[in-house]
Amino acid sequence: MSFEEIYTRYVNAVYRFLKFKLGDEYLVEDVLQETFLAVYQNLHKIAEVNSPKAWILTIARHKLVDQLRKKRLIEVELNERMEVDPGPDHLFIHQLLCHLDETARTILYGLYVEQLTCSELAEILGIPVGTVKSKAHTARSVLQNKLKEESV
Amino acid sequence: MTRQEMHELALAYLQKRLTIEEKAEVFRLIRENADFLQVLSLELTLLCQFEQLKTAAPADLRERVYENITLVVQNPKKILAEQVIHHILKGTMPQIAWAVYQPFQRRIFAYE
Repeated sequence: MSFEEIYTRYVNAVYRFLKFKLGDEYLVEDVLQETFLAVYQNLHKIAEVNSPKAWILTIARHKLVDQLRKKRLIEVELNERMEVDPGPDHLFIHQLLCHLDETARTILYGLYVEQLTCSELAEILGIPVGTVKSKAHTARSVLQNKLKEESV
Repeated sequence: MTRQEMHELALAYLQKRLTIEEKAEVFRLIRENADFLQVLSLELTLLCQFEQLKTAAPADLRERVYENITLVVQNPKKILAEQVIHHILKGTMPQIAWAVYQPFQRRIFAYE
């Protein structure tokens, strides 16, 4: 598979993932570029991976963590937040996800939006498959309760 | 079947990832198991909520990022220059100007 094919096939998934995690459009673009640059530089490895999507999203997650570290440093220096795109926080799903921790949010996002398996999510997050499953189960229960409260 | 397995099966059914045999199992559970129907209903609700997050990258962003990567891989010297300038500016620019400059940095190097 050529880089162009990989880019075309996965750019939307990586963009969505970064947008979900970061919100800020400028940061998303930076991390998206760094992610696919790393994919290009490691293109020879793609034949060895079980799931190219999980592999690329793992790279994206690492780049995102690096970027957030840098951003935090800049923010400390500035002592104020840069003007950022507020993102689609008005969506009901974001309000629901506020009740979950970061890992649980990412797990549900992966399951429902990207149709990833628990094994793929375990690879992306660097945690055991059992943890992914139990966190998904707990998160579903929390959301179920919140949905019930909303409907009352 | 545990509740967790029910959730996994219901989600896989809604995402059309099941074999014919597994689908038959889902239909059986729908007929015979009220709990499964509840689980299926919750999965459908969650799936609809998460559907709102299924956005595509804007076309201009997709193209710009692709062009930038192509530039980087075709001309690594330019990238080295960019990194050097980046460090010089970061060290010399007032921090507030730096924050304003950052969003433009990509475009300067992308279209120079």
